[in-house]
Amino acid sequence: MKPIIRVERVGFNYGLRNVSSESCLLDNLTFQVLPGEILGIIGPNGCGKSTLINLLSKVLTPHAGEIFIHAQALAKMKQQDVARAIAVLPQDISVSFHYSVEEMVLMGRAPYRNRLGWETNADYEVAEEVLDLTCMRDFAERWFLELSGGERCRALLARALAQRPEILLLDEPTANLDLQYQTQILDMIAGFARKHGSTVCIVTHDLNLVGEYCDRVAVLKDGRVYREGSPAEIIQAKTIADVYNTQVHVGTNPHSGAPHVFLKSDRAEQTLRSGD
Amino acid sequence: MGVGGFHAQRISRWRWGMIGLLCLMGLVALGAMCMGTVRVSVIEVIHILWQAILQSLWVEGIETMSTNEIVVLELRGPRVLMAMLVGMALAVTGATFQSMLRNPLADPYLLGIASGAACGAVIALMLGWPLLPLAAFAGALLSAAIVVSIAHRSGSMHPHTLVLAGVVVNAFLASVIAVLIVFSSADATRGIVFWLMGNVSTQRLAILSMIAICVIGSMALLFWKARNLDLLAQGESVAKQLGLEVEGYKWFLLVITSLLIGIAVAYNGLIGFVGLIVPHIGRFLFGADNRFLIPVAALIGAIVMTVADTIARTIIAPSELPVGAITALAGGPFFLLLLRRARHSFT
Repeated sequence: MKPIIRVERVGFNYGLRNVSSESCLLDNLTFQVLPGEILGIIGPNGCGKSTLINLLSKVLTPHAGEIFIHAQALAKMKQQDVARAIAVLPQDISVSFHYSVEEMVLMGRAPYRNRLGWETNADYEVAEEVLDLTCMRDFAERWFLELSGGERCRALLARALAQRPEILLLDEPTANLDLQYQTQILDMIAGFARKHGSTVCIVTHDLNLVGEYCDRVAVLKDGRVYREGSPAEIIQAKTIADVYNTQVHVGTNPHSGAPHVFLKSDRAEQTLRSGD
Repeated sequence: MGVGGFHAQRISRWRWGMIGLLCLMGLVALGAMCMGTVRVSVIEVIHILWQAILQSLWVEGIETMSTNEIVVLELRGPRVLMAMLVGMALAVTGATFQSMLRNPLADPYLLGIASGAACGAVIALMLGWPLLPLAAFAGALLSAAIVVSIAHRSGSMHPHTLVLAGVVVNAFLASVIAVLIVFSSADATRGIVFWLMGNVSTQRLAILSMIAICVIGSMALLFWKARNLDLLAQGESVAKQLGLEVEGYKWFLLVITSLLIGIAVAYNGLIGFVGLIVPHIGRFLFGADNRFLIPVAALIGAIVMTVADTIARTIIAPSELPVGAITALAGGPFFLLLLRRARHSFT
């Protein structure tokens, strides 16, 4: 199968451009994403995961290397065409004015608008469909700023889906959500991806989520892909100790059989020792 | 009801609102032409305007005019027209800046463009140059260029950098103006101070029509691309992810707003509060969608300025208050009232 995203020897750094390669945020980053797969991207804080999302959505431009979507160089694509192919679910956004959920979702149709910039009936149909899909229909007339974290996340997801993307990039989708919303959002996304054959990249710190939902995992460390493989291959105590510098115990989720990470805290160690 | 239904409702509400505002603007303009030291009845104003339109269409030569005709056609008419154009320019620029900088407190003067125009104009007044508008234009463009070049050094124009650069340039130019006033003659100072406080000037029809073409053309361009302002209000990364070429669009906005501010300041000095408050009234009435807001803000701006200017020239007639003082005096409390009544609409 031909890859849908090809990242080739990409280098990026904020600020100074001519720094030595040791201090680069991303350096010689190379990996591929296959169509229809759900790829988890993990790595320690500051390893460039969110930067990678910005590079893939052409918010930032790499200083070295190239990114290809299908066979097309991202650098040569128009921003509008990028937005038709790739949608991003941001962590949260700050809007200064009161837009209704419906207005926010209709903005997802911006890459498809006509010359005058007004929505057509087809756009309203798409908006309705994604509002149903994300269970946000009843919130359509509410102000976005007055929603709870979980509802906001769903509204932003609806907007991303309204872009009708082939590729969905999720930036810490569950960071601010309680358990109910975490599973709800990810089930929605996985369901949508399966139905439409979309490709999904999830950037996250939640290794259990990765084990549960991803087909494949890539681990970033020191600006490169440190390892990639299936969740069972990657989520192992040794890899996690190497990447996160932390000792953990990896078991399995009895419900799904997915790998599950258990923390080893000092407190637990002390209790164990005193129990001896 | 479907999403299309909600939206269709909103569009029809907006259409009726626009028609209502247009009628109100017409009424206010007529009223403004009646009021003053010489009272002219509404019917006579309409008659005079109608005759003037007929004459300009079918009759070549100019006949002798009655006093009332002179008052309406040469004094009040152009002045009302100017007030409407300035109000539109300020309100639309305010709405644009607020969305572009994602800052509800932004006004047309925030980025230092207006101070640049004022500085150019003060120099012209001090030296007694006749080409005050040109000097103001030059000042506006120059300061816009300086602000943008400072803000652009980091590679892209971040809204915070842009505002900071604007505030610094603003402060610098304000002190330049202060120094210039100290060194100018008493006569020039009087002129400068009155001009700085803002007052609607009366211009010949040729100049007015040129200004009208510039203002209405700029507004049409902004309206055409107004959807992008909504995207920009979401933050620049998000705007890019929604398909907007952010840098190009910001240049587009800066050039057009410089033109609008340059015109407003060159002919009328610094008129505060209109550009800050009118967009908020517009959002309160029809929501934040800039495709609705830009035309609504233009009409409300025109109405507000016409009313303010009429008060300014009639309240202590035969002398005049600077209209900038009226807008600030009435605008401040009005804004506070709005803030109290509808806190949720102003975040």
